[in-house]
Amino acid sequence: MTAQEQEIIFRRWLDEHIGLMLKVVRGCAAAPQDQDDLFQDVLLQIWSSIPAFRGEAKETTWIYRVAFNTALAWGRGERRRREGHERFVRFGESPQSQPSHADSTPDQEIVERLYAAIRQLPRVDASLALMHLDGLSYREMAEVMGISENYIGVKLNRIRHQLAEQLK
Amino acid sequence: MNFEEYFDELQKTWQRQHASDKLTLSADTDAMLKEVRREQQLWGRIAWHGDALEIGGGFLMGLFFSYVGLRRAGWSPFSVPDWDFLLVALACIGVGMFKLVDRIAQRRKRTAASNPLKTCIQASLNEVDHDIWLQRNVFWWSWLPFTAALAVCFGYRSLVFHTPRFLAFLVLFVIPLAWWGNRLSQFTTRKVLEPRRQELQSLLASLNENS
Repeated sequence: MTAQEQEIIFRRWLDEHIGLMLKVVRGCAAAPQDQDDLFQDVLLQIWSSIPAFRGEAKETTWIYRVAFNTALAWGRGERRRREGHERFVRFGESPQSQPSHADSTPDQEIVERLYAAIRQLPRVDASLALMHLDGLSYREMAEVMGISENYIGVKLNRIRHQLAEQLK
Repeated sequence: MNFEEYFDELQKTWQRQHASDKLTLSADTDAMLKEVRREQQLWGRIAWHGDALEIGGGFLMGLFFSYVGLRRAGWSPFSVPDWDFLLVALACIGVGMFKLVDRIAQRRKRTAASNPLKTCIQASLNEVDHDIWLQRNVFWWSWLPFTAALAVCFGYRSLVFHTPRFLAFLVLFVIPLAWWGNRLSQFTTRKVLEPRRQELQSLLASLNENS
C-alpha cells in the first residue's frame, strides 16, 4: 500500500467513523486531558494499522478492535501528557467540549450519565457496553473481542442490568 | 418499566443523541494527519534510541575493549594480544548479541492492534512475562558476564603490575554499579511489570468463558 492510499483511507475513516473513535475515548477516559491523549493514541494506532487492512473484516470492526486495544494498553500507566502539542481537534462535540449541565438537553444528560456509568465498569465490560449501545450484533462483538457469542450474551445480560440500575 | 425496557430506552437515547452529534461533528483532517505523522516519527525515534542504547552500547564497549586489547599487540598477527581485554570485549559483545536476538524474537511475536482483544491481551501478557523473566535474570545474562570478565581482567593486571589500583576500581566502581543495576531491574519489575501482569491477567480472566 502506498503512502497516498494510506492517507486516503485514513481521511475517509476519519470522515465516516470519527464518532465511533470518540465514543471509545469518552467511554474509557474521563478527564479532558486524558481523552485528548487517548484520542491521539487511537488515531496513531489506526493510522499504523491501515497497511494491514485487507477488507476481510468490516471497517467498524477493525476500528473498534484498534481503538479498544489502544485504550486497554493506554491504561497501563503509560499515559503521557503531550505538552505543547497542537490542539488540532475541533469537534462539534469533542472530548474537550462536553456540554455543560446548564445548556444540555435531557438526552445529552442521559448520555453523559451513561458515559460516567460505563467508565465505572471493568474495561472489558465497558468495551462491550459501548458496542452494545451502538447496536452491534453479538457476532460483530465476538469478532472484536475474540470470544464466543454465547459468552457475549451472558456478559451483556449482566452489563445491561448494571447500567440500568445505575441510571434509574 | 422493567430493566429490559428501561435499557432499551437508554439504548435508543444513546443512538438518537449520537446520530444528532454526527451532523455537527467536524474535524480538521489535515491537522490530524500532520500530528499523527509527527507522533509516528517521534515514537519511531524513541524506539530506535532505546535499541541503540541497549544493544549498540554492548557492541560499542566490545569494540572499545577489542581495540585496547589488539593495540597492545601492535596489530601484528605474530604477537599475542592482551587476552584479558579481549575477554571483556567478548563479554560485552555477548551481552549485546543476546539482547539483539531477544529483541528480534520478541518483535516477531508481537501482535497487531487490529487483532481481537483476547489475542492482544494474551500477547501482551506473554510479552510482560518475558520482560519479567529478563529483568529478574538480568544479573545472569548481563551483569555477571560483564563483571566476571572485568574481575578477571583487573585481577590479572593487579598481579602483573603489582598494583592494587585495578582491583580497587573493580571493588569501588564496577561491583557497586552491577549491584545498583541489578537492584534497579528488580525495582522496575516490582513497581511496573508485576502490576501490569496482574492487570492483564484479570483482563484475560474476564474474557475467559470458564472463569
